[in-house]
Amino acid sequence: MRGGNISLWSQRCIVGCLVLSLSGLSGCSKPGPRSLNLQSRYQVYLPAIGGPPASPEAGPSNLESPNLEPASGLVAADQPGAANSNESLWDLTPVLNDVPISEIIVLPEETLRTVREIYATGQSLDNNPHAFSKIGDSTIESPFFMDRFDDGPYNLGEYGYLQKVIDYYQGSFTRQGRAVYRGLHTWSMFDPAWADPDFCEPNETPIDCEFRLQHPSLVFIRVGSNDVGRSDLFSQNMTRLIELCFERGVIPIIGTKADRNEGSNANNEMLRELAENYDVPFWDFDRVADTIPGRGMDVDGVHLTTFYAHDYTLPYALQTGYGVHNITALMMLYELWRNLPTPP
Amino acid sequence: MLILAGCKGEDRNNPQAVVEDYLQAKISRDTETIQKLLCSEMETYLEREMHTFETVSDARIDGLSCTWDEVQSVVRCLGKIVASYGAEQTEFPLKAYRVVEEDGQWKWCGESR
Repeated sequence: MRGGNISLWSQRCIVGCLVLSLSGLSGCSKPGPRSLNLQSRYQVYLPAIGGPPASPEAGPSNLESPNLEPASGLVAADQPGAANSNESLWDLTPVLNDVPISEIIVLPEETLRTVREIYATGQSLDNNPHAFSKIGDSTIESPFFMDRFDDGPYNLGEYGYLQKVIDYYQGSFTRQGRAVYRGLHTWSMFDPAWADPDFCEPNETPIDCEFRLQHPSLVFIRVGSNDVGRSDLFSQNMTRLIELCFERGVIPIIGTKADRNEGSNANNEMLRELAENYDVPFWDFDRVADTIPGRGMDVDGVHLTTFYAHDYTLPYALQTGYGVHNITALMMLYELWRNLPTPP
Repeated sequence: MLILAGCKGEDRNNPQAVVEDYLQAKISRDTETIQKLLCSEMETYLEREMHTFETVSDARIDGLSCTWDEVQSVVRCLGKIVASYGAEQTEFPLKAYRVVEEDGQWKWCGESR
């Protein structure tokens, strides 16, 4: 669609229209109760939107400090990343919706080694240990993806131990950043046309722009819903992104999606393979999606069912797409933080 | 026999027209035109340029208006590309673009200040 420069059009036709006297040449051409029965170790009670205030019978008062008494299973002080001597996620929340947490938050020892190396690179490049970024499509846009953990109110319920990472990464949760766009696919992550000119430099890609502005030490990557019909490009660009993260010292957290927009589960499978090959954190939302009504997706089959309350004492909390999506993202952040030599 | 040809934005001597045509080709995924209008320096980005609006059902340019800054060799454009992804729309504000003269014609050569 053109902007109405008629004289320009006329000029073009005059100049461009060739008169040929010979032939042959032409140029114009939703909820049920969850089955968890975990004992709460640390609880933080905060008011929830649209819900009742925390009941005194339910636990300590809203502002009471969580019980932070250390337990067994601490990382030995002489191991790399022993700075955050907290209980492991595997001990605190061994299963979620009957799925072993280690199948959702995939962090084998080799991956933790890689993560520490990337983190060290990032620190040498002055990346902010308290900052993370987001790269992806509308499934992780604000305000749905974790924003509430900055802004409140929320109620972590039995997952109160996660408050530590909320405190540590304060400010990053509400930040959509410059690399989250509706419709983003892997090849547009590297296209300056997608970068916001109000924040990004000319010819700067959305990822470069985001990394320059935020200096993150970690990045959540949630792509693939729009990468349809070009598995070659998906693979190439994801590989490029992971390698860029290594180079920039930013720990890539590769997330899976619940949809099957590509007509199969090829994109998630490719993401899993890449995460294994590169030994990087794998946040497998797709693995737990089967435990959520409608695989956690809204009627459009892409976006997740909302959980505005962010109150994890509610019986349906883990029966909503974003309820599970956001708490598992926070769990990934917790386990990574716990294994990194982060400064206070 | 007379054949009219070249009506589809063939004014390669007008930098504004070249940028406008390039943007139009980009949203239309008109590979041939993108190839023709891309400067040699940007050739390595051809594939990226071709796929910018891939998987978009309908992309359009609203309010396109470009002006040529001869001193800076820059074409500054106002308006936005509007693209739909299912029921959602994403807008891409137009920017300033560098143009260079190669082989006697102007070519699009990336973004500029």
